[in-house]
Amino acid sequence: MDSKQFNTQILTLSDKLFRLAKSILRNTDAAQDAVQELSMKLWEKRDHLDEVENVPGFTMRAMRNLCLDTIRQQKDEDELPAEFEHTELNPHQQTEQKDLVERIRAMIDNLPELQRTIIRMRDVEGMEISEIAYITTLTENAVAVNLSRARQKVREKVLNEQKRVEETVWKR
Amino acid sequence: MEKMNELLEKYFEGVTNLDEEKELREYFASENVTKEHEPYRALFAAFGEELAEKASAPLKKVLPKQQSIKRIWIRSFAYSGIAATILITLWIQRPNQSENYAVVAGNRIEDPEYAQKYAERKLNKVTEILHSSMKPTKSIETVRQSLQPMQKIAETRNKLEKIENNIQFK
Repeated sequence: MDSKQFNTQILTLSDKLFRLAKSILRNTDAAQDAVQELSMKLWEKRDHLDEVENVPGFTMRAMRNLCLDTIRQQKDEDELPAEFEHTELNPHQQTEQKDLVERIRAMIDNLPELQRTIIRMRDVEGMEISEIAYITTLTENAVAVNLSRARQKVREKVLNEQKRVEETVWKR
Repeated sequence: MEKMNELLEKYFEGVTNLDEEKELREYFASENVTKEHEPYRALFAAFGEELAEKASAPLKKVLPKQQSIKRIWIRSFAYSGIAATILITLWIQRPNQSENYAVVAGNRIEDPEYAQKYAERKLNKVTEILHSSMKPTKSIETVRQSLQPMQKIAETRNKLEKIENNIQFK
């Protein structure tokens, strides 16, 4: 793969890769670093990319794997679980998040990695279930199940949030 | 309204297709959202907001540039052109110089008379050196002449041997 093909096929994915990395790592700077690291690695191995049939899918899968490795390393270093699910937003998050849209984004961020990755691939990037299955190395059925679970959780939280707001208004 | 309820239920069960999901996004971006559906408006707005997020540093800037063959050729031609222009300019603007000159010990001599005299002087010196170098050959000639009587002795001895042989045969 020459530089022109690399620009066309890999660099055009940079925003998508960044969003995927940010969703997994939940940190903008770390996501940016991960995207740069991946692009450098792919550039070094560009000669082998000609053998890959699905370059965008392969690249997204590589991005996810790199981010998961980063999380594992952090977990080893911190000796704390890097992956955990919040049931409710903490008071700090509540004051930090100014409106409902931001609170919903935080809710999605607090889903388990697989669920938040899948819901974003589908609802933000508009990917087909088969594409998501390729990137996550799951079956299409497993993707559909995780997508449904993620959406149900978000729905529950959105309704709870709505209820909380209404109660606050009534108290006033 | 009824249709949107059905679509929303399908959506949360994870069984909507991409076209149906597009329809939902368009509905929640419109002004026709009912009060019942209002809580979900922020959900679809959040997805739209996330899609607008871009990588802050363009990747092209960090990647090493790969020189294409075409670019190398263009650069080579450009450098060759610059070099040729410099040479032609220097040649055109060179100072007027005499074509006849001699270089002696790194010094440029343009006076022909001086150059000729200098050359004659040097040639005479060479002749003198050659002449003095030939002196030892004269001594060799003298020795050779002195040895000539020795050759006659050898000739006489040969003749005596022949005479002796003739006598023996007889």
